[in-house]
Amino acid sequence: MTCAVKDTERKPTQEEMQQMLENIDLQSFWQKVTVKVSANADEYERARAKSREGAANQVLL
Amino acid sequence: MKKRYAIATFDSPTFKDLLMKVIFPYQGNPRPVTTILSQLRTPSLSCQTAVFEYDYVDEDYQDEFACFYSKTFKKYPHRCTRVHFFSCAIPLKTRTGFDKYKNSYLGFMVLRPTDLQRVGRTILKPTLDDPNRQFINCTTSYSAHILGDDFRVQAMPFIQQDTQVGACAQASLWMLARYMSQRFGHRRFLPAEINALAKAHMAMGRPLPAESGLTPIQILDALQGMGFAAVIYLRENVDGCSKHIEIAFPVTGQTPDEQSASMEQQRTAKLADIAYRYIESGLPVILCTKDHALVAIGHTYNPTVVNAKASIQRIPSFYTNNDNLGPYVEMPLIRQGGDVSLPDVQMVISVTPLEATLRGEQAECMAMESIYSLLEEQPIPDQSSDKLRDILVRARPEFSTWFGCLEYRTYLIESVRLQQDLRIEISDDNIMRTVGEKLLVLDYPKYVWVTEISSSTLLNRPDKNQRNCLGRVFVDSTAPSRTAGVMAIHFADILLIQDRNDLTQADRYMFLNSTPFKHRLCCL
Repeated sequence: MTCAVKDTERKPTQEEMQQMLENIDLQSFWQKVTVKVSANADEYERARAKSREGAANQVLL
Repeated sequence: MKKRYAIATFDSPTFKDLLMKVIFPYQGNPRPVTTILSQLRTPSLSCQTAVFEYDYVDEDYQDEFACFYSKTFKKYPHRCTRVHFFSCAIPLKTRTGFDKYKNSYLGFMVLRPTDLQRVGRTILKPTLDDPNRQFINCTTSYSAHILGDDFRVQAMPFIQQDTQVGACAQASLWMLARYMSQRFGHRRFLPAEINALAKAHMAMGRPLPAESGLTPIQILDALQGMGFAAVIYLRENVDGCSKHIEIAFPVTGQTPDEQSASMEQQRTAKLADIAYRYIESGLPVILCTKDHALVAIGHTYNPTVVNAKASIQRIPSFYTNNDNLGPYVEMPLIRQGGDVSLPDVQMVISVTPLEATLRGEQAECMAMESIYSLLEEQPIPDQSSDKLRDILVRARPEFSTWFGCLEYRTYLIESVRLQQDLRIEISDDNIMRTVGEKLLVLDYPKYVWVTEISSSTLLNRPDKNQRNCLGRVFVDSTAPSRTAGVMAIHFADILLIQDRNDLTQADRYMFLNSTPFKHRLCCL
């Protein structure tokens, strides 16, 4: 079924699209997302930690 | 014995005379008063009548009086004057029955009988000329009473520092806290309490008078004491984060000076990007320059940006409540001379309700990475290198243009409000009924981060009701920041509803032609 989509370059049907979604390996999908998200979270955490240190010396009037 | 009122035609000699009597002897910064009066003159408010309510007992001034002014050698009155504003003409001899003018109510300004900075609690309708480009996101409903008649106005509270019980930081904290208490049902905090909470942990000399201001750490202490989760970002510390902004605002220039200026522009964009998600969520953000604090509460919108790579490129300015300047003051994101602009901002303090533990910047990252990874998936096993992106384009060729330059806009929303919005979207045929119903019946935490994914051609419409998005990602606001906290994705006709307790389980649907749909309008 899925091969036919590739072979003909035709517009896939709703059923074929549905099947493709079912084919996605969610475990590995979310794992990939988590790796990227973690790196980003580390950067924000570093920025906040440094900002807390730097903020002590300013006075707002 | 009787409650005293005086009615005057706005801007008439009588009005000016009455105002002078309660506003002078006036020392200190007169800008907030002049800003408020000029806003009342604009066509969108067109104030016609002012009602002076004398001997008004103002809870906030009573608190300032109790903690400071009652203890001074000089005698200060303990009551204020409250001035109500109406956009209709009210006969000057009116004594009762103000109720019939309630639809013309514009709000009020309390004038404190202090030496300096007299503008107290002010609740005023925003002045907006263009509903398609101007948005005050942080407003909620307030009421005032005249002889038992109830008057309501949608506003963001404003106050000017009195310099004795509060400086600019306390004024900003008061504005933020008073809005949050009304909007989210928290308790109200009075000026002296805010000052005490700010100074509870960090000894910086005597707490009153408050002329010496606050440090940003004391602002964080006060926010934590009031039950808000706050974080701070300093300009010089944001270089490693918000990578998506570096694509939209790359560092350029030939000379070191040019590169340095370009780097500052990128930092400005990063700070604005961090603040924007909270503002869009209706959460005020405290912005600090090198010596002043103000509150960002809204933004303008440019619907003509072609191939925007970050949603902040569409935001020419923020609206701020600046106790030095007045309420609803526009602050450009690019320096334009004159008053404060975003390049002057050195730090951003963003606040969320305690229940939302995930920050907006990280929720958006989860959404962006999910969409990116989804489009890169190769769902045809064994022999094909076709990515889901290519297959979706074969199903809907118009996706090709939209996928080319995706824009992400993220906001926090209460799940109850989200469900109410979904019901409206279903009944208005803005979203495919089956999709809407599947999203409606999900079990959500109290707050949800929603990231809308869109594209220039879908957003570049003058009429805000015509602006569309290609989908949205719903993120659990209690998800740990280093996980994929996505609860549901409805994007490019795909609906994926993820089981938060089992990453391998999800309901997956293809609803052809269920996207694009109307993007959410703020300030509903």
